[in-house]
Amino acid sequence: MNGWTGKLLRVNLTTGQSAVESSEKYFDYIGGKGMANRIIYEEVPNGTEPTAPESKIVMAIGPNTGTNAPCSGRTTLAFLSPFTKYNAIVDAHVGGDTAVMLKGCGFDAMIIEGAAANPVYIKVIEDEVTVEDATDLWGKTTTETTAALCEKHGAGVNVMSIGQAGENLLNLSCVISGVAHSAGGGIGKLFGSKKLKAIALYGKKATQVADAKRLLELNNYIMSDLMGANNNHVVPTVPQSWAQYSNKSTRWTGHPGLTWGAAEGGPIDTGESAPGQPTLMGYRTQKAVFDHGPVAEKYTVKMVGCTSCPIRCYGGVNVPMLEGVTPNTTHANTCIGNRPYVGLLKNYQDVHDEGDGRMTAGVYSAILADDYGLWDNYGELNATLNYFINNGLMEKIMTPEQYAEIDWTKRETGDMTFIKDILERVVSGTHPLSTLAQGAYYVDQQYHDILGDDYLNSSAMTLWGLIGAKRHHGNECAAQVGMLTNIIYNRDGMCHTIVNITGSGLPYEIQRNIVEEHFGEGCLDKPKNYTRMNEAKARFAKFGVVRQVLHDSFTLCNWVWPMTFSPRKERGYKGDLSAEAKLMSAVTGKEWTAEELDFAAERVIQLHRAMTVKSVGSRDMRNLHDVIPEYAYTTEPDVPVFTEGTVKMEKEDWQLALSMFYQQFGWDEQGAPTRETLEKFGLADVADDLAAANLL
Amino acid sequence: MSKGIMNRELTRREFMKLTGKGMAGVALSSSLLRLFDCTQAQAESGQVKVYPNSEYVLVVNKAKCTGCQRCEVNCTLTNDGKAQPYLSRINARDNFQFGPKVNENYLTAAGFFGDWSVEPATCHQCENAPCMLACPVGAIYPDPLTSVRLLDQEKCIGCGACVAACPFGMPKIDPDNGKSTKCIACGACVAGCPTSALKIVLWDEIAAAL
Amino acid sequence: MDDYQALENNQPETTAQTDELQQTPRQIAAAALADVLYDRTAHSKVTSAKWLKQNAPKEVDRAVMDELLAAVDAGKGEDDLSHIAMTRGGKDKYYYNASIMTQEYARLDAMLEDKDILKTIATVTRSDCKLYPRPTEFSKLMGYPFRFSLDEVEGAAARMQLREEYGDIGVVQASNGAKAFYSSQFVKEGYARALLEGSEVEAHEWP
Repeated sequence: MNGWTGKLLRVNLTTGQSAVESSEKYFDYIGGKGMANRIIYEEVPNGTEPTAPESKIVMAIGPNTGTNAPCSGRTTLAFLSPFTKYNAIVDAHVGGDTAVMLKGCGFDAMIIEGAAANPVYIKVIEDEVTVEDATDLWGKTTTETTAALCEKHGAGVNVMSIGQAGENLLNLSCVISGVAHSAGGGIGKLFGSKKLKAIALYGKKATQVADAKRLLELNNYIMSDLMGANNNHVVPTVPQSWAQYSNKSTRWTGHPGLTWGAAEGGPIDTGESAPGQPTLMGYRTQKAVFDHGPVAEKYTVKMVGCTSCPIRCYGGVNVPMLEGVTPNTTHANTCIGNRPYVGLLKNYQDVHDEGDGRMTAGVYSAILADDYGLWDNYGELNATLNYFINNGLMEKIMTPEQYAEIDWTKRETGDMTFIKDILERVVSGTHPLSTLAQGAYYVDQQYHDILGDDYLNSSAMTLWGLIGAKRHHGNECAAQVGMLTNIIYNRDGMCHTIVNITGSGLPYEIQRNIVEEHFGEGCLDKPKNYTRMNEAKARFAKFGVVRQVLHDSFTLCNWVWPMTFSPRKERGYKGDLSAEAKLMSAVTGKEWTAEELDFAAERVIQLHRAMTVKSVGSRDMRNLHDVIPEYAYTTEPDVPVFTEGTVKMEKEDWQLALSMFYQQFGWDEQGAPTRETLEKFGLADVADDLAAANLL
Repeated sequence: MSKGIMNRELTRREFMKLTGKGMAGVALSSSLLRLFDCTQAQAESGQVKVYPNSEYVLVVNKAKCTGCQRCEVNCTLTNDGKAQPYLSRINARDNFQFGPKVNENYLTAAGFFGDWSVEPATCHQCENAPCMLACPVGAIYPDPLTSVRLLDQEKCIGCGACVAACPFGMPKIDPDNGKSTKCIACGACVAGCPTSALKIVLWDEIAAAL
Repeated sequence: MDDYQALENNQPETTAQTDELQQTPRQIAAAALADVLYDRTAHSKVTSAKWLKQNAPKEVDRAVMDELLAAVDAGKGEDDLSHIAMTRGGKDKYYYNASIMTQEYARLDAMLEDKDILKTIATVTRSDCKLYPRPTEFSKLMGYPFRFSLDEVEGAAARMQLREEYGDIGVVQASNGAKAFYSSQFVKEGYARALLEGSEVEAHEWP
């Protein structure tokens, strides 16, 4: 069998038993998110408590995983959300080594069900699957857990583990894979509720492919002709001799004179890495500098990241100022993960150079958060903590003694240990601060009397919706197109298809011409200069999520894919939207077109939407699920909507946007799938199910 | 062509005399450093390893290795028609996190959990290759033209003697066909490295630089 | 007899390549000139006519060089110079290998070689505001390959206000203090400020 392994592993933590079953019946859902969602749909009854033993976690990968397709080292985990309204189906995605190792163990998916009475870890080492005692590991940080299990089972073993946050059943908890790759969405709580401390994987099996030669050529073509840097930004930040354009906001930061300053043996210059040089493309993204500022250059050891990815978006640093402060002075992460709680401080204490105080505090908070297995809901936890502090609400949720125990002046002086003072109380699970790590919806539920309506609707929080999920990304990047992508999900949308396009660095005219060829005139607005909703935008938004779901099922990293653009001026900067289909064909030996693959991905979306409708308990998704917060309409109050200088939305226009988006998916005016649509995707059983619940 | 091989062999012997078992402590010319794409400091610190074979020198720079493991799958896609990191003739997957094993000082030792250094391990194309000597059926042999130690899968009986004999743990038995595998210096790993942590330097180039 | 000796015996003696092209002095000069220009282009630099006069390769006769460059100027570079292009700066002509350097970068480097900071800033600002659109951050002008100091950039901002030909160039500031140039030919001040706020502040606070 090519691509897939054809097998899934079922582990029951109540009995400690495991079984190997066929995964073939799920191939219509591709794999990854699709396979995992379908399994949850079939096996976890609607309304199950996310933390009940009957609740399941499904970890899945796809036919493309392990093939060395660039950026194919991604695993999707599906489960019921503990932290958003309706506790509906969500997915978390994790990189690192897990995906390739799961394939190496011979499985397309792992189903984790039941709950152990005492702490356990699942051990899958080659053909041996056991549930082992983890009493000694409970209470250890994710780093300590990984080291302990690798010491026991082998230095190359992939370990995913929870820390204190998951053990103490915080909604905002994650699972950490390897050195700092995270699966969020509250999955740490599900692990914790099952007393599942970790999963240790090591496998030696192959991913069989139909045409290895074609695959090698394809991978080379993708890396030479289509890929740029992080987020597939295809234009460098500074002018370079091979480039027509430069754009300071892109993530193609590498250039002559910018180094991995702390590299072993002396600085390594990132240089010019022109398109067509796959053996240099790992130098294009100097993410430590992008996230921490220029001061991070001399602390950057190298870029790292997920298995198979040539982009290397994790900035690996060594910060000696953390000696004696944290267990280790090295860390790597990307984006918010590099500085998750730096915003808790109002000032920073520089040590050697301007800006190194902020960098040090950022890395400090990243080490703490990852060791605790604390998830931040894309910055929401930091925003919530600040909201409570800034609005004088901390004193209202704590006793005077508890309030006095914390030295709040550290925030002003920039003493970074303030971050630990706060986080250790958060992860304890027993302090009032722990209640702020429930996700915005449940924080609001608990504290609405002191929060009022402002919290969920505030621009200080920038949620995408009232179900409590953060905006990641939305109207700030592409008007209605960006915002619409979120409504598919029951957590932060994480759709990077669209934001990668708007942030690519190319001149607006070039971007617009290329995407208009695919979706029609008017689909792409200028930055901060938006126009009213139109059909082309609806098509564009649909493409955004369909491709994202394809990637999460295939698997590929949606933070880089699809290849809408190319860095090659000889191609007119046009990418290749059939690249995924070409990979699928080379891997499986069956010829797939982009349309066929998109259709399979849309099947997954239709199922996901139906599952969400069931969780909401109503077809009225328009008013009960797809509601965006007030700040989206009121931001930049001095600038009228649909004029230059604002990203605000308009209420009537948003309702029109929803209508057009629903039409694209074949949903009714309320945003619910119809029988006709479900049957078109072979989901008649789902239609029957919805009908039986009066939801069709 | 024959003169080229003679020159190559001389250069190899000269080079081996110069670098011995490694590059640490060796003063290299600037043109040689440029070829190997490293500084004198990097060569002296031992972070750059060289694996000479009859075709070229494989240069492995652990400061540049980012642990992506693309080298591994490029190897097996090219040589075995499938993607199988375990079988690869270059190995980063077992040491990129902690080095070869987890030590007490893992937070400052090699690997992602320590100082970030990753050293992919690969075949040394040994002159008196233990794998070749151990093979009971002569399935491992030197290529008559290049003297790279090749493997004849037809002859191989999958006994595992080469696996046991290799001090570097490189040959493996392919579970799918029961045959041994080993590095044949094809260069697919180099072509797959996004940071040029693996580099091929031809003997002609080295001769010019020595 | 070892393998190598056997090969020696079997192979015909080969001599070094003898079918060298019979090149004229002019072709040799063109090749030498092209080599120098390729090397400098590979280091991201354009080469001024003045520099060439002072640093001509020994194979290149001065008069011949003038003729060869004139042909390049006319877009008809001979032989190995066929890839060489010329961009006219304010103070000199600048040559580069167009197969490895874009015209855009060549023009930029020519401006930097001219050391006309006002023209450089105005040109880049107008281009940024027209294309993306985005204002041109002071920090961009202080980084590679511009490397102007903050004093130079602030000074340029002040001087441009006094020159009619730069009447469209203004400065906006984000809430974190970051400044940028914009061109009113292509964007209004308010829009420029909003874009700057987006890239300098909002993109980091609410990524």
